[in-house]
Amino acid sequence: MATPAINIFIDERPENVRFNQTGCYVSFAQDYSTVSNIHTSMLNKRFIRLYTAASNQFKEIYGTSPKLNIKETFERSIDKVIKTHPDAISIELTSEKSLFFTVKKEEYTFFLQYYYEDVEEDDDEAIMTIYKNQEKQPSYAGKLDNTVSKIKQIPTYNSPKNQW
Amino acid sequence: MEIPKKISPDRIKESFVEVRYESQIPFSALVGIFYSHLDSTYTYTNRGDGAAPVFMFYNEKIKIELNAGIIVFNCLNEYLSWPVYKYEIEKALIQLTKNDVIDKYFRIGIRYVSEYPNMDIQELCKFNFSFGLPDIKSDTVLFRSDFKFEGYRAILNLVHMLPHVINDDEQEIVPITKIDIDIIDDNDSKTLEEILIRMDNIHNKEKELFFSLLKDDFLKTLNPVY
Repeated sequence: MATPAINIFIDERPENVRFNQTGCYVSFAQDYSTVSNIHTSMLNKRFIRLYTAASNQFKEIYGTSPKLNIKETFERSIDKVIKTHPDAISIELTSEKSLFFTVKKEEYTFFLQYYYEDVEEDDDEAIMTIYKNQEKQPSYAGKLDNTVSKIKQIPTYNSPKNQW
Repeated sequence: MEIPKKISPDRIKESFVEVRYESQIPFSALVGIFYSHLDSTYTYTNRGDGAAPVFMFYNEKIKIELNAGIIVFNCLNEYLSWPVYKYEIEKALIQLTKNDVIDKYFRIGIRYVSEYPNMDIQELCKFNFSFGLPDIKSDTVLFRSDFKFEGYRAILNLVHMLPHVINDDEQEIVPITKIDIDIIDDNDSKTLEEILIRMDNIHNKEKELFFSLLKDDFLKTLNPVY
């Protein structure tokens, strides 16, 4: 794993709201509400925070905004990672031209490194180290889609504290 | 009733303002036009796959989400206060709607969600709930009411003690009580000036309903300024 470069950005509460099975923000059929899917809107806020953090770190390192292809890679990868519905997530830009995500979900912590330079969506690479509490689990490497699917496999409402 | 100009803390978690519009220009082209209209203080980004992308602009204070026929504003971080927030909305709308790209505005909705950790809804709100088993005390209550309110449509969501994780390190779960008020104006407008006036009116109704719900004793704890 590369050494993180600068400016750790952590996206924490209050945006990181967890919904349980009886969450109020369910989609009503033909909902008339302003912003019928409030959960998606909150996800967009989290996306903007992470994207802004990554872009700002890029500017600090390279003195310029990311070019279009890198901007799109940032957007695509951040979107995929936040869709795993983590309890907390942070993003760092490394000197190895990768995005370094730290994802907390239930008792698991995932350290996910994703290389953003010269990648196509169909041919990208991510490396993930996994801890359950403090215990190291087998690492995983592969395409980003496959890697995030490992995170998605952790049920969100698994905690005994969260059974209602 | 006398409505406060300010309360502290305001506890506003979300503050959506939604404007629905009609345009002859296809939405895919309109996104590009909006991009060219907005000044450089706004950043463009989008998320989602190719089938259902979410187009967004944001500056330091607000975010703007674009869907076909719908523009949604929200404060990016903490609530800005209505005068500042409305100024930001107005500034963005003036730029977005240059060159008459919008033919007509119709529905406007304002939806505020306030959150109160560890508070019984009956301590803060004029709300009673019972059902066929009156001895039962509900741990969690979700209540939704859709009604007409002085010429507007109102959707009220009250949530009593719904558990949320608030501390990532400790995985601390805290019951949160919410007041979620959505006021909708279904009239039509041709001009931006008209919709800005309508927004003010809707916001006033939002405040009126919110403060009507609060118990007097609880309101005093929010340091109201009249």
